[in-house]
Amino acid sequence: MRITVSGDFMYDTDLIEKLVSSENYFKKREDVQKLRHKAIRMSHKYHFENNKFYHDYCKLKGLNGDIKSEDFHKIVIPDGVFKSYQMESPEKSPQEFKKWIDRISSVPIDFTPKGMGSLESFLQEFYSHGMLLGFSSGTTGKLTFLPRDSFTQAMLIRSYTEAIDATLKLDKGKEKFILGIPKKTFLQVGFNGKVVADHISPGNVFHAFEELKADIIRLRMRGPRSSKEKVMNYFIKKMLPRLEKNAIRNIVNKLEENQGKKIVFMGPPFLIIDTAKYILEHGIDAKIGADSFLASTGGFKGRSIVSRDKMNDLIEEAFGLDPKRYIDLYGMTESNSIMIDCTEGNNKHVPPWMEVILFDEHMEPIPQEGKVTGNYAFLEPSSRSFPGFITTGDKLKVDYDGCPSCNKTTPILLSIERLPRIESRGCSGVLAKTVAG
Amino acid sequence: MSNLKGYYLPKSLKSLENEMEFSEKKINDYTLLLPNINQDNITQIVSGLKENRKKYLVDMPFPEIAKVYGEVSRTWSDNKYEKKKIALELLPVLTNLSPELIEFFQFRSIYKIDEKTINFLSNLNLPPEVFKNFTPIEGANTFVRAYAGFRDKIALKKISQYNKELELVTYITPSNVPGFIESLGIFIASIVKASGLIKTPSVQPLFAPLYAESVAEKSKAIGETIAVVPWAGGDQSIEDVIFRNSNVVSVVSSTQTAMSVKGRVDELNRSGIPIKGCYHGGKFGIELIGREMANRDVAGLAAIDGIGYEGYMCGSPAFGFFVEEGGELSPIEFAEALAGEMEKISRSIPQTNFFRKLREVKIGEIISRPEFDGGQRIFPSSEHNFAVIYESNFNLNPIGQNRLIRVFGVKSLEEVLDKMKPWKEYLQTAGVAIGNNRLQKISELMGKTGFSNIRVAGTVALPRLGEAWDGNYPVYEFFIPDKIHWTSINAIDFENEIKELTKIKNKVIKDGVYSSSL
Repeated sequence: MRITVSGDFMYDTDLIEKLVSSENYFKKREDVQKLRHKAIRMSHKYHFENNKFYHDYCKLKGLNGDIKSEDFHKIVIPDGVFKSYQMESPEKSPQEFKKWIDRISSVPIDFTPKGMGSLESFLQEFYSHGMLLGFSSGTTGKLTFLPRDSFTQAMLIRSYTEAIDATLKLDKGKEKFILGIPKKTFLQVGFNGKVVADHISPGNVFHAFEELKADIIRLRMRGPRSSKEKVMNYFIKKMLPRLEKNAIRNIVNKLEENQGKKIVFMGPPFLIIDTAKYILEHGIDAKIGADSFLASTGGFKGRSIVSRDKMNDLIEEAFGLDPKRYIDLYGMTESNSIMIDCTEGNNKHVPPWMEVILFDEHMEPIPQEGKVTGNYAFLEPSSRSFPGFITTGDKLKVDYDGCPSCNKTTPILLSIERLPRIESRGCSGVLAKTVAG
Repeated sequence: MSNLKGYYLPKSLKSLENEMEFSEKKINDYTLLLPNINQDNITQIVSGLKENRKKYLVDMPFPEIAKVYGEVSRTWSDNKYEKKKIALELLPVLTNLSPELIEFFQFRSIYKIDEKTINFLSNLNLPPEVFKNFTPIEGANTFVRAYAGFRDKIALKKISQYNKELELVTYITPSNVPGFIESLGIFIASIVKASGLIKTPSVQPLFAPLYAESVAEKSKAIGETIAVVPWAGGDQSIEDVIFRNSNVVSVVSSTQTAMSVKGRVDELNRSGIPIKGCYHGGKFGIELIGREMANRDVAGLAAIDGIGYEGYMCGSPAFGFFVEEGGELSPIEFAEALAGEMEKISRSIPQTNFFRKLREVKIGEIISRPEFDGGQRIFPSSEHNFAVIYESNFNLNPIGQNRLIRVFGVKSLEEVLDKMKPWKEYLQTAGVAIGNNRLQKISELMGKTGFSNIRVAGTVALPRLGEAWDGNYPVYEFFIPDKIHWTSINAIDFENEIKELTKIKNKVIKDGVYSSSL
């Protein structure tokens, strides 16, 4: 199906759905690249014609709606675009904020937000009208917002599930999920986990937290700005460690209930570690089925880092799980996709529908050959409501030759680090800082 | 592959090299050797420098010191000088600045370290009128004004020049202005007849050793009183030895680094070790164009200010270019003229892809704002060398680096200065183009607002003799407390300066930056 939103050029959803498929992990690299490049060219043209900001940005760089593959590195936009709004509190300037969204969005937003009190309710207002404003935050507390329309949301779920399908053997509809993330949140990492788990196994998803409101996250990340916020912050600071302890107890209870059974336990790594420690300290038997999976996402930002070896030991001891069934996920708020460790070699695979471009220290694109390290940018044509061609604040080492352990044909990540002087804004960091005392 | 020393030690301390461990840094066809300095090494270096100072420098007449540095400058101005050729090949790799930019802004500043400069600074004696108004300084084309409380004025009067013996001056140097601060540290130490220890920035440990070797080539004696070494900033085992042995520690770095050093120097002062700390942290600048000067010539000079060090010098007009309405060119026309001049100058002083990409990132953020649908106008470079953005809404945001030039139209310059008050702590330099009849009044207002360097448009990134720096006064700052705020104007006759500078700018456009006629 081709969809025209406002310009003349059609967004080819069939092409995107063909690209975002687990089968492409195993196909000949050249064939998938051809398909991916076709999709990127289509997506670029669509955004060029439908996104005011992107149009101006490309024009400034001397680019138009037709792009050659060798020029892909020129179309990436800075991630700062998604937090370039000027007001301190979007919910207090709803019309102004909508104007900003209108400028960076490639689909029209045909409703007038009222800004009903809290940030959470403001985001809910957008969501009720079909536009998810998932967010992430930096240490400065300025939230990054990504406008995802229904198609882009569907592609996010599809990207996750197809990546999972290529990696894990899940019995759809029957898997039991235990999630160390909130049941209701617009924090993108939490939202993704919830909707993907619900999609895979509706009705079988347990959340350790009930709700994490955007207002609380913002307050914790940027600090209080008024005497009212100071008081709120005081109580939240007191309350949150208790919340985390309760979440751990809830998870442990659920794990005990499911002793020996297959479950999928997912959460930020610090919560997995604290849960494991709690189990061991209290002598609890929470050994889950050998066919279970444990997944972490977001890294350790804000908390002390635990090595993979030490995590493996803890996981084996506390949950009785083969460390090969512990997988780490790497994603970004701006991206619809995750890179998942394969179970054969614990190597993170770049999804076949995503083009990774690395830039060297002189900001030149690095040829996609062998093992290379550089500043990470990605091209993801599956975002219809914003251009998914984005530079990030991460530095990656990528092996374009692929995985030595499994039969997927996609490149793998060898290391991930934050670039200096770019604020840490990983979703796990938000959770870590939000719940820290 | 040739080896280069990423350090400089006096000949008398050469044997230390056998005790030091080295790491290597490959740059093009060179290997830069960088010592991993330990506490024993640095102890020997500082005591050696102090001994050498007594032997070689204390009794050296000022004219002899001046002659040495004058010869060094003339040597560096020779495009065939081997060390300069190496510097111009390797500094661009290390800093991403183009060789032409390094030549025009950095090396041309170094060429000015001559006999006149040294004689001026070694006989420095500012008249008491500086406390009342901007006063012309003898021997320099400069006005100076000092702001201080009553007690500090009295204290300054009691200080006679260089009444304190300085044995060791330590300079911690930054990476954003490669080379100039290192050479300043070396020659100023010699002026106060102290030995000089220079810490190089990790990004660029190349220039200071080359410059120190040049000094030693001209004077073995002065060469014995200089050391240039890298160390990890904040390494207490090393810095404790250095600070305890230094009479002056001057830090030119980020505010965070400067404040970190200050904390430790203050602690040593409290324990009875007298050290004068001189702290030059992060600052921002602006450009002010009066309506009487809103013309194409001044747009050309403003372009030079926008290009300088790609906007990363502490005085660069990162806040923007503020143009008064009612002149020959309206603010938006001035922005367009500025873009035209930037295109021409960028051909002589090109930008590297590194800064081009950084600008694109920032532009992306700016044009994603909704106001870009209306009140803003962008004048891009057809060759992707810069971007001039005209903004109708006044805002203060120090993002004008990487040749991202922001022009604002204002009713009056006084209005801008009033709005700068909350940024007082971060203000330093203003490039200014106004008529001579407004100079004293506006300068007084600027001094009170917190500016320390008022520079005629076209010279923002080109320091001149006799100027204040960051609210302090060079050399004086080693001897007096920091309670006096110094402000300088770097030209007596702005109108004439603008004519002369325009001629230089046109030569740069026509003949490039290596022309001997510049």
